[in-house]
Amino acid sequence: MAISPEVLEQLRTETSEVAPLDLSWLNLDNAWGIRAKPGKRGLTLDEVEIGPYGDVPQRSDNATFRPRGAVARPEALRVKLPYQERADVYADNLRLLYEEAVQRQWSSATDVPWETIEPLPDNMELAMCQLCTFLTEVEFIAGDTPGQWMPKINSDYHEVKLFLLSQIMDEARHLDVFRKRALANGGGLLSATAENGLRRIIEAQDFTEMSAVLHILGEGFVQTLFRMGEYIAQNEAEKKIYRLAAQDESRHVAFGVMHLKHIVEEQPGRREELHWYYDQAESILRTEGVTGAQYTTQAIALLAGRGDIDKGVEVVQAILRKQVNEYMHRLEVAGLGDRRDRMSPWLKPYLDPPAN
Amino acid sequence: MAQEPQTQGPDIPEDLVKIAQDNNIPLDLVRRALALGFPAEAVKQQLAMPGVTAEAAEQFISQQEAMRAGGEVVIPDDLAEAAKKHDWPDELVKRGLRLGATAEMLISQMDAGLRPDQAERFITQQERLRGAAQPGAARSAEAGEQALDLSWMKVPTEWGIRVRPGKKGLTVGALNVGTYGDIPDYWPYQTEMPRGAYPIPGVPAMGYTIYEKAELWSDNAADLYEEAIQRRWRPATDIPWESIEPLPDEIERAMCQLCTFFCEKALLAGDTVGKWLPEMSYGYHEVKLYLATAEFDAARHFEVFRKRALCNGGGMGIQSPGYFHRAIIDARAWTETSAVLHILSNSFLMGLYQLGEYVAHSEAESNIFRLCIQDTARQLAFGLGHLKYFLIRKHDRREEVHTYFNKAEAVMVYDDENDNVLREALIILLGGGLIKEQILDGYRKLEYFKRRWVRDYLARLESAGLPERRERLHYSLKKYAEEPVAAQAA
Repeated sequence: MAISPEVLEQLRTETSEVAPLDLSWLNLDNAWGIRAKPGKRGLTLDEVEIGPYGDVPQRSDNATFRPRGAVARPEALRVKLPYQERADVYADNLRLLYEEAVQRQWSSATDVPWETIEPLPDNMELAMCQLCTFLTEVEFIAGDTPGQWMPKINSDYHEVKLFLLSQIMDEARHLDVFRKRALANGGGLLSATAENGLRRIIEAQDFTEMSAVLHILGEGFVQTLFRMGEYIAQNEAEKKIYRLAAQDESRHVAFGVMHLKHIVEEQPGRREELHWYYDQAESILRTEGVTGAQYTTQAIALLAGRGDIDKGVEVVQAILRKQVNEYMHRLEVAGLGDRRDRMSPWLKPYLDPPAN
Repeated sequence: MAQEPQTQGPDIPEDLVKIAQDNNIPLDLVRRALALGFPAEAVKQQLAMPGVTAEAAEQFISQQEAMRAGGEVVIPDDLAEAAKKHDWPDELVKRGLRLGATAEMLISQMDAGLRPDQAERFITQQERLRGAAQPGAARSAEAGEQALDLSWMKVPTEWGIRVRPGKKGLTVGALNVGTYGDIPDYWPYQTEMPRGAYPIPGVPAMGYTIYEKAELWSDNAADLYEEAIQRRWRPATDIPWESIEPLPDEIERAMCQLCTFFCEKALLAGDTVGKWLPEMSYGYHEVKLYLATAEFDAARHFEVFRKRALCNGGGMGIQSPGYFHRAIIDARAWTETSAVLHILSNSFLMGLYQLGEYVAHSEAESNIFRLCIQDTARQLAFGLGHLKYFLIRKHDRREEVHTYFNKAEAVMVYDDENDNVLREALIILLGGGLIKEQILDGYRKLEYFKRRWVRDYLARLESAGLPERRERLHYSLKKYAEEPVAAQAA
């Protein structure tokens, strides 16, 4: 861009009513001429992050809120101590996942056919409400946790921030939809559950630890459960809730898998550390049941067995098997296939032999 | 009842002391229960149950002590009768009692249809877990079977609530009926238990720091949450990007500088609110839900302004010095954060969005600023709602609120005086170019917009119950609060 030096000089000196102007920022030495154009899916992040703006640095000492590509000001106050390595927080699918999250927002107030909910036998209604109580608890944590990590994400890696913000929104909607279901048909909220696993998520001291436990293990198991929602749901409203929630959870799991892959590839020395995180998290599942606390497992069994708990236990076992095998598959995709040999003895019995 | 001294055994938490005294339960009994390893929360819940007497508590504690000491387990008559009726063997009942189950609980399980073989599986698992928890015990590699303790079906939460969708669908606010609408002034639970559910003992604290309603509440939070969802928009597809035409270099550069500023603000808001979310206990989920939408607003604002900066040849500008960021980051209480972020900072942002809409060069820019005004209006409404609630409940902390505004306004003025880049960009946008007359015109218009935002800021504070802020406004802002001479004369 060219603003002539004469014009600038004139403006610096001749405007009497206005305090002296500097205007040197009009001739910044940064990328000029970038013209992102909308593609088939509109003007997405993939379309705009081009040229130097799309270059996500491997390392950044940006300790301010300076957006990537903006010109640094030496006097800008340093306000945080974020991660400095891209590998510590990044994943290659972030832009896609964020744009998908924005496009696929839904409303629990109006997008769920609440009128399809009919009175259920008391034990079935209680079981659904116990499950909803548990899921409300789970979603609280899943929303708080990304929030806690926001200040630690470097402004240069804004894709991570955007994704985490979309996750906070998703989890709020899940919390709200399960509370609505609990109060829509006479049951109400039931017992809290002893979920030490949830505490394990918020205890994480490292972003990758948090993501490994929250996105892959925790949300992975919940996502599988939601996808098995056909077995649990008693009406169209519940089926839709599980379908929409599963769709959201898929994004969170996808981020976790790709971030883990990123770490395994770029920081291979951390392999043993990653196993330790999973050793700890899996051991908590051992005492609490894979689908959550014991109460929740019973509730799922009742729902899946349509009131016959013994029949439902078989479905619970099938869900457990699916949860464990999908968990293992995700780890394999991320490059942590050796987890198969180290998996907790509590989960291992559900593991099918390797596909090959 | 006279206060008993706390002498031997574990200390009793103050609230538990009060519950025990209210229910005429001797503190020594409470101390013995704690010594047996029952968590304070569990004891509290037991004591708060209707019909609990000192005699019944004494009997239960003595029985537990005797069992722990290896003594014989005695099955109470009513339990023995129920066990006989439901074919539960005595030994199974004794194992249940040894695990700490009350006779009443076991009877209710039997009556609920729990079969002896199911109970056997559960009790075995519990015993195994207890054993594994003992020091030196070998860890079992076996997969434990799922328990069949159906006590969750019997918890005394409200039954029969059937909320129906209204005109706006099934909203969060509509759920606040019966006991579920009872939002306590203090939330007593440190766990992730949702409001209205039944607490169980043994759940670890989650580390929240805000348990008092006045410290975070706003009456409009539930409505704002639903509104935010209904009014969601998508920068990628809801903005007519193709309407943006090439602009004169200085205008494009100035617009991109403004966009860079908004991007920074959005990053700041996302971090700030995110940091506070885990501090807020779960009794006040409406606030957490609304703030989640504010977080999503922040993401969308960053996204849309970055896209605007990168779609028309300009690119990102220069970062701000960040002085005012500190007024928000430094806040140590949610009320302080909300006052500075939602009211002061957002009043300023609202003014800039209005300015942006005024100078918009395309339908795309008009839409962007209009949509951001809509989002920011919700954030302002939340902040004002919270301040109003806080001032009514905490009238002794009025001066503290002024201290927050004193500090933040001073930093804002300092930032404004030292960030010549933003000021110059606004002048160029308002004046429409770099010609001397345009600069003068831009300067005058900027002064108008400053007056406008300062007056709106004061009017908002007045609506929240802080009208005297007008007198205490930072002296550099006061000149904008006064009517210009010409307007006064008119």
